[in-house]
Amino acid sequence: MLNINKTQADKNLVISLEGRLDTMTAPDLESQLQASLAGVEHLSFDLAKLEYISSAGLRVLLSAQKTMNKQGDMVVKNATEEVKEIFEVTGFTDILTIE
Amino acid sequence: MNNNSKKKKTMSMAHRAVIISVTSSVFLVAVCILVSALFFQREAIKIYEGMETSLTRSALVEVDEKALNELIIKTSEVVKTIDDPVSMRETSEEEYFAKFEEIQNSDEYKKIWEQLNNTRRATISTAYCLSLIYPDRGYWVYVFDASDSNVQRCGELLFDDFSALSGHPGMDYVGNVTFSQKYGRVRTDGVAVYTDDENGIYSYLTADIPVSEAYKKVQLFILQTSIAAAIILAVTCFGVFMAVNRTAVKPIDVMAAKAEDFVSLYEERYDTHVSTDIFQDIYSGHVKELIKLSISLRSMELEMNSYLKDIDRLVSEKARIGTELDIATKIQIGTMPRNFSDFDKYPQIELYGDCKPAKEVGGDFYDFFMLDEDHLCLVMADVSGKGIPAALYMMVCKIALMTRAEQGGTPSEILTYVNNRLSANNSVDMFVTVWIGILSLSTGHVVAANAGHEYPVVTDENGNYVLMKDKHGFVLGGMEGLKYKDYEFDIPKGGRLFLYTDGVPETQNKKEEFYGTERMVETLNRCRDLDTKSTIKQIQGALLDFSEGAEQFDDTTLLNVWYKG
Repeated sequence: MLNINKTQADKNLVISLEGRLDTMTAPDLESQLQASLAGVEHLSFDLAKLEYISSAGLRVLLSAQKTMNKQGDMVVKNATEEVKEIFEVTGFTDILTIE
Repeated sequence: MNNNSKKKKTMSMAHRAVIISVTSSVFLVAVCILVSALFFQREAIKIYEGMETSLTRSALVEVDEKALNELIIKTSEVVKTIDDPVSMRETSEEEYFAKFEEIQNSDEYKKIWEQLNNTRRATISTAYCLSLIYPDRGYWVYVFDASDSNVQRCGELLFDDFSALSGHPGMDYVGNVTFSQKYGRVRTDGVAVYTDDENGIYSYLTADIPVSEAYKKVQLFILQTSIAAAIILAVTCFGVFMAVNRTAVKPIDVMAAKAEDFVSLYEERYDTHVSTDIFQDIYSGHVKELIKLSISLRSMELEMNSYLKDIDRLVSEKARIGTELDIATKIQIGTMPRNFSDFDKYPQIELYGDCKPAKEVGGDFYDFFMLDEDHLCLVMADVSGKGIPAALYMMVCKIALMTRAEQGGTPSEILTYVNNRLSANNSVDMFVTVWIGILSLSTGHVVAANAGHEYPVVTDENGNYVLMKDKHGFVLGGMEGLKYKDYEFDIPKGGRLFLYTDGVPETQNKKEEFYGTERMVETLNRCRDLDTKSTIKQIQGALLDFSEGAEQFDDTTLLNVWYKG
């Protein structure tokens, strides 16, 4: 299960994720991102309540990062220790802006 | 069918149609008969009234008017001579009538009486009366009573209520209705004969007509029409029944039976996917609704037929895809080296690996191959995603890694090169985590690089497996132009190296708990004395036990290397 909350203010979009971002839920996030990234210049992911992220989820974050590289910036906030470790192991810390 | 239908009273459509048509026709016919009887009765009475007037008029034509008038005047004169005719008639009847005897016994009187009675006999009238009217006194005085029964004598009094009479008493008398024991309702009407205002003589010739005849005729009319109506009704209802039965009930029965056939063919259809033609040409009539229904049934059937064909097509398609996936699985397994015994010629090492994809094909792979007589290249990788896309990506990645590794260079150089190749045309943002290491068989020294892959596990001097938190680069294929760094370590003599994909620590039980690296290292340490193949089997067994049958979504791949030195 994954709850996706989007808060948009002008060109700032904050996406809060709650639950598990895995093979089952990643396509949902991907389609929501595709629908709402147009015109966004500052994208922020709030991962405070994200319990787990799999490679399918990482792929969506990578896609978002690539899109935002072209039109603005993207930050990842409040990741839990478990999620941070996954970012570290997979080297995503090198390409994501983690706050 | 549910049980409710049993409780419901059922009735055939034809039965219902008959009930509806019978009740509505009976009601309609009854109303028609009653209304027409009422009109008939009213008209009949009107006709009688008209008849009376013309009858009495025509009776007068044949009578000698002069003699008649004389008799009228004589009678009125006799009445005039009596002071109180009512009390005289009461008290001395003989004396009273004796005064009129002369008139009654005259030849003129008898002649006219005969003439009037003869004329009357030719009609339906029961009595022709010629009388004098005395509205102010409240009675009539008979002059003639031309009838065949209960003939009143000349001078007889007839009491009547003249309160309704208005206007000239010699002109404006309108008929009245009386009841006679013999004739029932009797209508009396007539014409003025002789009027002499000066002497107060007002005479009328009236005819009595039994109106009850008219009522009898009405009753007869009702009876006759009712019988006729009942016969017509019966015939019509039978016709309606036949027509409804033929045009609606039977065709619907046929359709219902065919529909039942169709339903009962369910199992056969389910098993053999036969097309059916049950509803073809099911109805040939002209009832719009039934035509519609038959067309709907037929199109439903055709739709079902086409669904069955679709299912057949899908089933064969699925079978074809299944076969292709089987082959793909075999191809993929074939790409991962299973020639462990070939390494028997290198006594320094023993190794064993296995890959279990979650689906038919997966994105995990391991690889090992000799670069030269001293250097063994080891690869453990995990492509993001599952199934065929992951498998295709895995093949590309595996070949690229091997090809580049065989050209020489350090692991970081190999990863940098392969990353650039994979990233160049990566439209789907897939990526692969890779651990690659080159082991020198003579020294146990390993040069390795990690592109976002799980930490390797290496034994220390005491033979304990320890998770090695190595430096991590970014995954391969995600972004072009990234650099990777080599790092080095030594496997002690007799030590082990264990490589795996995230499917191992992320194996879940029913409580959604992860197996985790800690349990994995513990299990490994229990296998220190086993050979590489048994170690891998132990880990796989431990994972199976842990998962308690919960479905696994990730591939699991393991590789164990024993450096014997």
